[in-house]
Amino acid sequence: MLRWLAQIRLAVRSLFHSPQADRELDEELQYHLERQIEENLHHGLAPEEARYAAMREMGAIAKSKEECRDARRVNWIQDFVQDLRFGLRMLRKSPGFTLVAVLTLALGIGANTAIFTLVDQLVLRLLPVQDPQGVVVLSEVGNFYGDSQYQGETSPMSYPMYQDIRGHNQVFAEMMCQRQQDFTVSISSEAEAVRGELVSGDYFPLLGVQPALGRLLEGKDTLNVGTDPVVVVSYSYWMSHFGGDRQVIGRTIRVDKYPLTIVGVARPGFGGLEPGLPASIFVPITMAPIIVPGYDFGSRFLDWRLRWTNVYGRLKPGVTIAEAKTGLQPLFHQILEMEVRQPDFRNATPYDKEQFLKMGLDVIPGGQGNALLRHLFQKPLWLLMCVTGLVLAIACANIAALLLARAAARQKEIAVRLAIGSSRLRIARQLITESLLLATVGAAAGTALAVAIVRGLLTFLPSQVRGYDISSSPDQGVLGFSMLLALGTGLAFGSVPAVQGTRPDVAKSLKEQSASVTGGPYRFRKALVALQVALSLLLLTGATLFIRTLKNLRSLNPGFQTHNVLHFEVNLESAGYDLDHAHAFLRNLEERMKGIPGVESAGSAQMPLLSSGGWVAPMIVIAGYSPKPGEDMTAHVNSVSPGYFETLGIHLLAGRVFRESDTRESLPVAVVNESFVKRFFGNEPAIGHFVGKGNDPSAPANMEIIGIVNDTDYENLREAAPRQIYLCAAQHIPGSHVYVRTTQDPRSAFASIRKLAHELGPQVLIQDMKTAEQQVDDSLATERMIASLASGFSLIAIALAAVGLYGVMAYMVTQRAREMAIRVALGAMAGRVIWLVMREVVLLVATGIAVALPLILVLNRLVRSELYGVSPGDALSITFSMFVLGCIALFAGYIPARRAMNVDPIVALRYE
Amino acid sequence: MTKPKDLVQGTLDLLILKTVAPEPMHGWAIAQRIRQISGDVLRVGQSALYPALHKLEQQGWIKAEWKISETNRRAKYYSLTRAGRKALADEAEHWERLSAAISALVRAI
Repeated sequence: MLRWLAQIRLAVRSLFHSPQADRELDEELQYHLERQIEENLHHGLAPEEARYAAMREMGAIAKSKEECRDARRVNWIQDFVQDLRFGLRMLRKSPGFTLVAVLTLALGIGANTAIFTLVDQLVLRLLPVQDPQGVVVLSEVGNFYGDSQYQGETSPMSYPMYQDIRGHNQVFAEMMCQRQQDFTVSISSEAEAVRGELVSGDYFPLLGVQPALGRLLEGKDTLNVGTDPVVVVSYSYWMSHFGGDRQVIGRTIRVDKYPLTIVGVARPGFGGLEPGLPASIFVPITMAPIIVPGYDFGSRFLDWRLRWTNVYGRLKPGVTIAEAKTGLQPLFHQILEMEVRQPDFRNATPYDKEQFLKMGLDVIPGGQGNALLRHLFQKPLWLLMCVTGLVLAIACANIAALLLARAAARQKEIAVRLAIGSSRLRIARQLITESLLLATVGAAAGTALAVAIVRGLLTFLPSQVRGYDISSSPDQGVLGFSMLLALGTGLAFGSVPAVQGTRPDVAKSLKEQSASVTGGPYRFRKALVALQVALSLLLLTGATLFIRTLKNLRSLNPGFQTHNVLHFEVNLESAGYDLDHAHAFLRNLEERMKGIPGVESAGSAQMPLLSSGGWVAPMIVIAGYSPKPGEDMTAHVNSVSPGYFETLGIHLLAGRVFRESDTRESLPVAVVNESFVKRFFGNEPAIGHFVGKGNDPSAPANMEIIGIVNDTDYENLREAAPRQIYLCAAQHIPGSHVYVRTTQDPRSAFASIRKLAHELGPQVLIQDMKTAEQQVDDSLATERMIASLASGFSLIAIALAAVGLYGVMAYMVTQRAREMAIRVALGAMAGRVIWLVMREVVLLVATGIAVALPLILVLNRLVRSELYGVSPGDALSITFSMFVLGCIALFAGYIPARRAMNVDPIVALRYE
Repeated sequence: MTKPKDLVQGTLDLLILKTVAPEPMHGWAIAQRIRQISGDVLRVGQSALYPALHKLEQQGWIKAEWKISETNRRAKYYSLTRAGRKALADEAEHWERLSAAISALVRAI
């Protein structure tokens, strides 16, 4: 039982007390020898004779000593320590080489580690809940007949749908639903915007989250609508807002307009289901109709026709995701069949019903939470990961080339070692150890560099997600990743000299340095350089395409003018305003703002510019227009105040825009854009026609079209402007996004507008104040991130390739100095000598380009969806990249070429 | 003199284990004992003996301690461990089967 202990003791002894172990071995063998001598004496041999006979009998003692040490099987550790010491000494001996190699590696590994830090946190990380692998999210796929509010990759569901599936399914051990919600919370008096979640009672049990204090929400808290005014706070909120006071249980806080009693604190580290965007409070979802009233989903809590809540399940043990999906379909369709017979579908066409019944239910791994950020950044981040991977490959090629050069310089040392009987494997092992040492140092420096890079990267994220809690310091996963990179790169660039440098060509190497410029290592280095040229051309072309994409998007005319316009958001529902007061507040604010010096006009809208989301009416009804079955009758909607069009510079093409006299008492009116007119009226006049919006053709066409404006981009700049209908805010819902046009830099008006708003409504929170130009720019954050990083990384790549090219050419010039000198001495023209070198450079670059071109044509196709207004095989971009790369490469090759020309024949010939 | 040619690979381990089974013994004595008992047929030289001893010690089948020898000098004595005793039983049984099989074969032909 203690056998392994004894083994370890022996191993430790021979490792750390090896002199003693060696002494004991000597003594043991000495004893054997002496006994043998005694034996021989006993048999009557003369003393001297006895000694020789014994030694003959013993044989080669040194060899069996070595075998004894080998038997202890720890030799490789001792060898490794020896190699490590030797490696450190070699690195210290050539500080220049070490510095260049470590810096190159730090750059390559740092860039990869930085991007991986983001990938890890935004794409890969699982929620800190019990068994996250067993958590799944449900998503409806197909044509839903009704309203749907969501951002992200899964579709939400209606609350009654959640209840029905929860009550009747066979595949889940538990089910829950939740929704991210922004609340306005006041603890004593000061109101504050707080991120929270509306959750069902089975939320905490399903996730296996424990309370730190008090109790968490339970099934009984969400049995009935509006009867449980309780709230659970997160641990960090408890710490920051209550100082960790244990008396907090039973205290009341105001959430929006409603007082809720704190019943518990969740355990440390749990912040809800949106990674990076922690929720501070958890409110029973059945309180939504009371707390989130008025014009949001709260009032339609039990409506089948509104999808708004995210539904999660925990798989029963042994049930796979595929089994769950198959098992749920019959139940889901049974529910759909029931729904389609409800009064909501009274006016639905047979086509609508057919489409609705075709819906399916998807089951998706949910252990990562909702993750809007993952949805937005998944593709760009993987793309950048590929880019940095290529940079690392180029860096590796560079170091491999450097090591080859070093191996050439160490040829004699290696040849001597081979000659005195060292095995090739042993030397290769030592060279690899040196490479791994180098890689480890580089990775350590790179990990430190990565922290700085991530900090820089975070500023590229759009401002709406800048509030995300993304850490720049590496965790275990990231450290593991960079260690893996170190190991991988060390083996990659270390194996080249280990194989190439230990060719047992002893005799040749020991002779006077036979300048073998045409030898294997040199050819290999040239291949490496050609590869570098190819990879950096690939990166540069990609970067050029991304830069042109960004430029194309920026130069688009979105249909509105953002220069000298500012934007801010007011949250009136949370401040406790009902519809009438909200309307009054906004009207008053817009009017009074015009009194501020430098303010030209002001207007408000429900939907902000280019928010990558939209308000889409499922069905537009036009008096006198009968849609074909299945015809797309949707339109983008916005609800705006009279000053909106003027403030954003949207031109009126016909009719009029809204006026203050358009109120709920007067005739409902609407403004539409050009595309809307073109689609539904063709060349007929549209003004004076009546339109309506709803779920089905029975919706009343009760709004008169009073004006036509130019098209504007809606969700983002990439997509063409959609057909759009503007509702009059005064007749519908008040907007929460206010736009103000100023005569000078709008930033100068920020303070006075804040002051005015606070005067008019002390409880109203002003959020997200920025220029409208900034808002547009934020919508391009992803494109900007890709373009800047890709071009930055491709410049690094080119620099590395240029260094590699320079290195291999300089080496060639040194090796052929004598030949060049003779040529010069015999009267060769300077141009011819330069050409000798430049011919190689041109050949290398040409090879690189020839390798890269097909790669570019194939690989750039993969990023087609990230491009705009430029094709993946764009000839101009490729030509431009080739030109830039060619210039840099020729310059890098020209420096050693000039040196070749200036070789002094006397010096070069005497040197040998 | 190196490894005895007629010694099947691995049987040296068995010989050593069997030899040190009754009492702790040093290397030279082990070699002598093997030679005596085998009637001078099996001669184990130090070049085979000591690596084998060190390997068995590393495997945990025998353990070593320094004692004063019969000639009044410090010598390294090897003795069986519990694991070694079990290994000896296994090896011996294996050897019995192997040699019986070989003998049977040799006689049959």
